[in-house]
Amino acid sequence: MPQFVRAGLRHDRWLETEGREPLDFPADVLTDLKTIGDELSVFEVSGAVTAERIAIALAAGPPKREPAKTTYAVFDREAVEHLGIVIKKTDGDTIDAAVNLVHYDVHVGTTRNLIGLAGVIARSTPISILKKDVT
Amino acid sequence: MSRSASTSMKEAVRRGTFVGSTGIGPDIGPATYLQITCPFDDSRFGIDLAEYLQKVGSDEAVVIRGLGSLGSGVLYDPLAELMSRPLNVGTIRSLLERFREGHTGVVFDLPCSVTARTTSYDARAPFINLVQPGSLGSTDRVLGIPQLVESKFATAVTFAGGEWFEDGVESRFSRTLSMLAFAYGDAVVASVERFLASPDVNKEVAVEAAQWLGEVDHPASRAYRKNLLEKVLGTSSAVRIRHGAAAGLAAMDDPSSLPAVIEARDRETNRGLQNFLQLVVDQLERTRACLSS
Repeated sequence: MPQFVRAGLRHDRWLETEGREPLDFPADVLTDLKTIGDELSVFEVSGAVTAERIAIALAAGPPKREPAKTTYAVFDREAVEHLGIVIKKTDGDTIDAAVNLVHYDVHVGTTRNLIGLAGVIARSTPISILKKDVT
Repeated sequence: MSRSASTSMKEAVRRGTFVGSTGIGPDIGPATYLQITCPFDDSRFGIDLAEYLQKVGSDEAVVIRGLGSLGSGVLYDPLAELMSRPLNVGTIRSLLERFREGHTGVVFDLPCSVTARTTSYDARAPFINLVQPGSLGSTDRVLGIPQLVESKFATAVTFAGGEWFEDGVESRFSRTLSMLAFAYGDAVVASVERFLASPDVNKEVAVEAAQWLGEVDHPASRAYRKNLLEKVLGTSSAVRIRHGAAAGLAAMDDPSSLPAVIEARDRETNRGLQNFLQLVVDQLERTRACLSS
């Protein structure tokens, strides 16, 4: 089953989602889901491009001045489609060319969908990587 | 900075008055611009500057803000930094040259001390005090350093409420705290300590402050900051702030924090934070093993 990665999350923002419905999540989680044109970026995990590689590609490149700790979430593509969110294949702009090939824009469209997506991400249990491991 | 903005500031400097925004940011409040045209001896820069300030009748220290692009070095006014981009004034040597040429303005708005890197963007470059602490203005003598720092810190927190924080991107808030730390030392850490303990703290800002405690390159306050982070990790009722403290301790990467982190991990009830604390424990154990081998 295809899986998406949303990277560049800030782990502490997701800590208080445990056991809550998405509408009751702390509002700061939406800071990690900043949309532009009602869209946000995700990447699809493949055999050669692991979720961790995707997360590191984002954590080690611009606008970061140096590699930094980061957090990412892995979730089923089907869960996104189930929300009625349109998925578009586009090129990424990370420092890793292989990662750029598995980039997608998801057209979230509405705040209802955005909150639904927050629920999908929270249920996936975001994973952290410390700075020393981002190399 | 544009040529017109630079010209505008020079005019403000010549008038000896502060005229608000000149293309570098909004009004920073009451301040006096003076133009220094007398030459300084390079090796006695701080002393000469202090003597000059006495000569012109001000007992306040200075913040130097640049005029135009002079090189690769950067000096910060911690408060102005909140409201405008860093101002490029070059290295101390190039700044001195500008003084000699009469092109550089000085703003009298930060009592106590002025700190600057002695070279350009090299983070390892030492900081020097251009004016030593103790030359307080009359208002600040009444208030004292702790209250003064508290006031500046409160201003920084207010502006931080409008910032968007992101891992790996140095925030203006943390940059401001760093500059305040270089100017005022432990007094700033004490302000952060009070802030983190306050019940109605903005958690987004508090997490940034906690992480800053671990990341700032300020050896003189390192022990205080480490002890504070361990205390916050062990006592804060806010799970996000405990996470910020753990992230700060990971950034310090000091194995002597292991007992505190392990205890916090074993006591933690939030699964996400417990997982994160395990990562920190693993890292610190690797560091300890590396140091002992």
